[in-house]
Amino acid sequence: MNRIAIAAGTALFVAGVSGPGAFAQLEVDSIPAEETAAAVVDPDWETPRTSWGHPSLEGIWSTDDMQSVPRDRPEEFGARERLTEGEFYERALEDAEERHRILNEAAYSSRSVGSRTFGYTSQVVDPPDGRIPPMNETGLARARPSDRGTYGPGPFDTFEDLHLYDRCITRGILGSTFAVIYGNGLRIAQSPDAVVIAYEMLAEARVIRLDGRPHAADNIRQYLGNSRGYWDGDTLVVETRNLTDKTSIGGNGIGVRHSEAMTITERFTRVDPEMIEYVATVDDPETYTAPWTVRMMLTTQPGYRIFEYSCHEGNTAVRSALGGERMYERLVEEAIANGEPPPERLPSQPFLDQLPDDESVFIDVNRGEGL
Amino acid sequence: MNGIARIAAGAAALTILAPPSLAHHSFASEFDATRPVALVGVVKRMQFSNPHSWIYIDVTTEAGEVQEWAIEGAAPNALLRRGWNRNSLPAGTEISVRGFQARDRTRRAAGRDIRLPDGSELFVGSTGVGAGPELPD
Repeated sequence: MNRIAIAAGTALFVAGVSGPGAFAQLEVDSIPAEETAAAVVDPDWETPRTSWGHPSLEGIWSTDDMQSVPRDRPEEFGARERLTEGEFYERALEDAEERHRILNEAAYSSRSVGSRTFGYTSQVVDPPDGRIPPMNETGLARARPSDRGTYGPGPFDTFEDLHLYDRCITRGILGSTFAVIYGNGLRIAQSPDAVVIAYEMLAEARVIRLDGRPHAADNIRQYLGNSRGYWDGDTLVVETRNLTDKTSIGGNGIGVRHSEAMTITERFTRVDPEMIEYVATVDDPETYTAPWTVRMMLTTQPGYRIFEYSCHEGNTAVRSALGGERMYERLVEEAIANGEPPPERLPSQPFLDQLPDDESVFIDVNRGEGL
Repeated sequence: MNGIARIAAGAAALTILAPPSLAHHSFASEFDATRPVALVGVVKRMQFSNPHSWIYIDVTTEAGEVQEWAIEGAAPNALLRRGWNRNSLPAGTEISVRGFQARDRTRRAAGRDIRLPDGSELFVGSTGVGAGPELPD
């Protein structure tokens, strides 16, 4: 048993005690999940295999367990890759409280939660400080506000000022893998000569050929690039090139705009019936000052299914951002015509402020104040 | 899953939590943080669409005008895992909403707080980590 039960809302640490039903119980991991992997604890453990003998990566996986592992290592950890026992307990308790809040207290919440706590200090494992290296001059010269789309400062004058996720087009390979608030599932299916990785959010699939054929011609460019794979022992190695310079590196593919020269080398190793260690090295000499490597654990989540994500169906982000900006321009024109100071353009922010406490500031639609 | 205790979910209110970061779009690019709106209306339909769900309600003003408002909610893929489905908010349900109006000042708002005036309970949290309840066929 790798978990202990404690009463919610208390700092009391009561190992192995199942409390009275009147109190909420939190299940808290007592040791880092990576230390529970079968490949770590069982010297006789063997990688599951497909019927044709390849290591099996098949199944539905998720990066939800990575939500509490920072992508870039907080500086105070230096070159240390693992949390101390005390730091781990703190993270495990926070994870347990967040799971409890989302699953048992919050209604209509969109946040997805994991079920395990890992003890890594960061997802980035190379360079040794665990932080993505700075951009170089070429990369900085390429950066545009639109790389962050609606999360950036704008202005929003055309659909191209919104990023590819705002527009429901793609999040790119890493953007589809970094854990975000929901939709962190992926499905892996195999045949003797190919591996298919299908991402839940934006519903894209990569077909990774294993038959030794060369990469596509250099002038073929795709959002998810062109991937070729091979088995290195029990590890699937996937090399991807032929990428565009239209996707970015970050959660949901929002962040650093990379170049067409970027290559990604991914390594998938099954380390447990419920865990795949995923290690990806990004090499883009036209964007970053050095290559870097990130590790994420792809894990199973109880009851997790891949749902359809028809992003265009209900997407109003483009209309609203462009329409909102045009309304702002109208308000500025009206203010100038009336000799009033123009209204301040609101900064773009990921989420809205809390609702005001002052009841009187609400526009009361039922009283006819709405428009 | 064992050990995750159930807590009584007798909430009379259905509360939309603050949208966490890195949702599909930046909320402030679509909605106006300076225009908080309060409205009471009757559900016409719930559009269970990604990347966001929309609740359409009829709001009758004191002057007798019926206005259709659309309230943006969370992604169905996330809601399904929290036990919601497209029938969770049936037509005819009266709800009161607080949120922020669309920046283009159309009759749309980001829902931040939705309440059922009759106190009925619409949602009980699932009891297993990561597990939604059985889905309807």
